[in-house]
Amino acid sequence: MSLDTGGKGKQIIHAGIQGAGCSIPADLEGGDFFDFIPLGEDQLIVAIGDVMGKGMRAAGQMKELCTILHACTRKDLSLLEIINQLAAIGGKRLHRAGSFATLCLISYERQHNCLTCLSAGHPSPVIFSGRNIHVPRVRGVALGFLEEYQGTRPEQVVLSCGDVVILYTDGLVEARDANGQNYGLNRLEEIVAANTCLDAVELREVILNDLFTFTGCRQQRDDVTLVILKKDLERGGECVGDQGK
Amino acid sequence: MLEIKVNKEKEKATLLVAGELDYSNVAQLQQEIARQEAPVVEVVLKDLQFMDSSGAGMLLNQARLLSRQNRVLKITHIPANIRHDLEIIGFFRVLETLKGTPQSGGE
Repeated sequence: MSLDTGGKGKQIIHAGIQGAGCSIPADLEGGDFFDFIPLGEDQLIVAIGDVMGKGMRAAGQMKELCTILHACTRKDLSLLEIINQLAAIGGKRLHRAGSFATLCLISYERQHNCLTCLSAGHPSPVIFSGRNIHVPRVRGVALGFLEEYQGTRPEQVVLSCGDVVILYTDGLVEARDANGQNYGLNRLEEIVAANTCLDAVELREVILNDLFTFTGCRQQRDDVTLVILKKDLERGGECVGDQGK
Repeated sequence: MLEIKVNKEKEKATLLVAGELDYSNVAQLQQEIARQEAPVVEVVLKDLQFMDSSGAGMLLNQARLLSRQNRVLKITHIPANIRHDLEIIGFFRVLETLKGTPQSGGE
């Protein structure tokens, strides 16, 4: 998989998960990033993060972090081991540069319908299951602040067919309208809850349209990144993909 | 737009920060902190409406720098929305580690 940071959307269907993401930099290049990393046929790693600052410097640090992430995922490590290595290698480099990066890592394993997540200073994912909204209590210190990862243990959630997981960077919820009001997590949750019937790509477009309507397409203060995961819809008792839609 | 008012006393310099602290103006506050010579520098954020990651990173770097000089950077009166963001990134946990770091003398 290639890294997408240029405002272009990226999507994937893998391990029974639909994924759709988009990163819109405030400047020519941004420090936000997201990636889908398929492992074998039944596992999908998803990463979203935000490197301090903007422009070329942040973009360079972000690409370096992604390179380390990809190298770690090839070693068949647990999510906690991956974030430990990212903190030890990438975090050290960020620290030396006086910078830091937030990161949320997710691993989905189809065999047990199990989603595992960890956060290093990044907002927790939001999971929509029927009418319920669940926010995993994963917290950790951003990479680059301390010499090693310090945070909660990974949290695991079993996904049901049709469940939706939203990952975002603060640039999205802190986007402002003409009156200086923030878009906010509540509005994001409301628009998702009202549209969980859509597939991941459609949902991404609905959220972005709502965001741009809210902001009136004003110049962003910060990079905006959004990732949607949806467990494939149920047909005939089994979850199957929506590729034929 | 960022406004900084400085109040100097013998043992403490107080920087009252108002407006928005972000990538575009973070150097302004950094220079003002660096200009202070008092053992304690207090940055009062009561009237700050927005701070991005560049602001948070700069404040922590300045806190580390002053700590190495056996001085203290206090960050006070943080508005709730900004405090929430700082808690998520682990900002206060890092400040706590600075308090526990043995000082090695000025740099």
